[in-house]
Amino acid sequence: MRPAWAFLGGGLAVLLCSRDVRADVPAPGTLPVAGQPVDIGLPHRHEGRKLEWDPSFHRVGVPEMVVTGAAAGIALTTAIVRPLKTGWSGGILFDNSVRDALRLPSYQARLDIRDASDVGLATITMFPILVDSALLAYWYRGSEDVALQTALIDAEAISLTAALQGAATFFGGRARPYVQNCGGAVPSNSDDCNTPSEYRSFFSGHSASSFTSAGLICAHHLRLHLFDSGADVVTCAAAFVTAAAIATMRVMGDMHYASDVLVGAVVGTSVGLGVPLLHHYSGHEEARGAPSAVTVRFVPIALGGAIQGTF
Amino acid sequence: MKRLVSRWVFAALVFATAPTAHGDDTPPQMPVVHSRYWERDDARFFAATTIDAGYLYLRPRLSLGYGRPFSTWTGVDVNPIVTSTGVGGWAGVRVQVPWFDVRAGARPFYSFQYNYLAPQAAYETVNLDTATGVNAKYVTLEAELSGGIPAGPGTILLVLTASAVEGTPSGMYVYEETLRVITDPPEIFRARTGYALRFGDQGAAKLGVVGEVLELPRRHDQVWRAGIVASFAIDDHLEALGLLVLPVASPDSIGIAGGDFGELGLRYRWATGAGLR
Repeated sequence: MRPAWAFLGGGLAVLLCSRDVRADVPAPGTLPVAGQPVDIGLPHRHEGRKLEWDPSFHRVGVPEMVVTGAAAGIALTTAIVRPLKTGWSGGILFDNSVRDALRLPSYQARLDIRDASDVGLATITMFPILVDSALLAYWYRGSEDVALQTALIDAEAISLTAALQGAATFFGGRARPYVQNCGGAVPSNSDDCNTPSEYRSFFSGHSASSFTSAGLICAHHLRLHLFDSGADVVTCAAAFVTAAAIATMRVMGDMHYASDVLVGAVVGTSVGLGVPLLHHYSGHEEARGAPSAVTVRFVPIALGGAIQGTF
Repeated sequence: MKRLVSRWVFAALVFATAPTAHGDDTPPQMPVVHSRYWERDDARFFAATTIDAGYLYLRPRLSLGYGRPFSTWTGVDVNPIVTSTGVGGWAGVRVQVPWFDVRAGARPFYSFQYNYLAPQAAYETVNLDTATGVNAKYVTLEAELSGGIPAGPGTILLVLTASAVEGTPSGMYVYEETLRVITDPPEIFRARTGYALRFGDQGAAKLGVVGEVLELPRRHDQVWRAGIVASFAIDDHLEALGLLVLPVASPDSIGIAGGDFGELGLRYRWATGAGLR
């Protein structure tokens, strides 16, 4: 018997042997364990304290929409056109030593770690919209208005980062690290060595986008207190750790030099924190309904920005 | 209208929509999931759309048919396919009844990135990413039965797919980008099963595991995959989705190209005449 049919047969057997195929859904917030509903502490719809958009906060309006659209257009254009031939190749400063230390030994392993960085990027990029806006602000805290505003702020920041990164790769035209191995360890007829992507090393889009999302997550959680608990701080910290891991994977996969991902991290962090904190949430110290004992500030420092808070 | 616009922004990330204004005395709209929302409408002729939006994908689907949209109906499905690696589309007929969904149609696809492949016993990512000549272009004829059968505290998930990849040069293999498998055309068979627990308010959240096998008759081999599925009904129209299915046994080592990381985003569903009663 073909495995596919055997596999499906197994599924059908499970169905036919099921004692009660139309059993009711467990009570809200419970899972059946040994036939008894066990409360697993899941939140309920609208259980969180109602979230409201502070009137002093700056809403996304027509100017922001225009900026978002223009930035998206620049990002798309620079993704299509071939980067300028600047002749910039090789590492600077500590690039080569970091590359030697972090680059994975086999080409296949480097391709695999690039896949992992793609999954990580997709996850952290979707988090602000999927979790913060749709699930927390809209479903849990019951505010369609705040959810929409945060989603639009996310789109604005992500588009801005993409435009900055696209422009930098177009004008920079820096060769990726692996290019020096084309025709050797990297087959000369591989996509790596035959597409304009070869010259998009500076600066790292994965790093910039990941840090932008991390910045957005922190800004929303620390200013709007989406979880309304200490989980907001934990989420913020976890987002930056994840972004740093994704950026490191790009060096391990030989797609970027350390300087590429560091500049990406600085640009991404600046946009991800700067757009919401310096533009949209700059009106009041705290969103309405937020605990008064918590304060958060974005502080520019030499290599980007930092978050200071008192709890 | 305001509510509809805001959901469209969520679902499609369309930036040219005006933000929600406040200042009236209307109570704020709350996200609501009505039990069997799509099952309670009258049967009718309808147009419906499903929009899946996530990181670097936007998949609109148009459905025209008769019955109760997204519940019990028959008609046609049409949707474009645009990815970072190619373009294509799907057109087919569909019959949906409670628990089961049957569809059949054709999916033409042109790949920007992948070429036809010279036959090998096994492939690595570098083989897939190596330019060998002509960009792959093919039409996949496909029939699929899928099911979501309530059982105990969850749902049994079933998918059975029969595909025929046509239009490829004789003697060449091809990477089928929807099924995400390298095949010696034409036949591919897929069986997926799994179980998803329902929990939370009205069973709005689902989390489950799935396993699947793809039979590649002309390669005399199979690809086995396993992974997780998750969904969360935010309201009657909006749903968060997540799907990650990775290869666990395969003749090929092509990384994530050999798995199914098809969903991490939002799904918005709408149909003419829905929710008016």
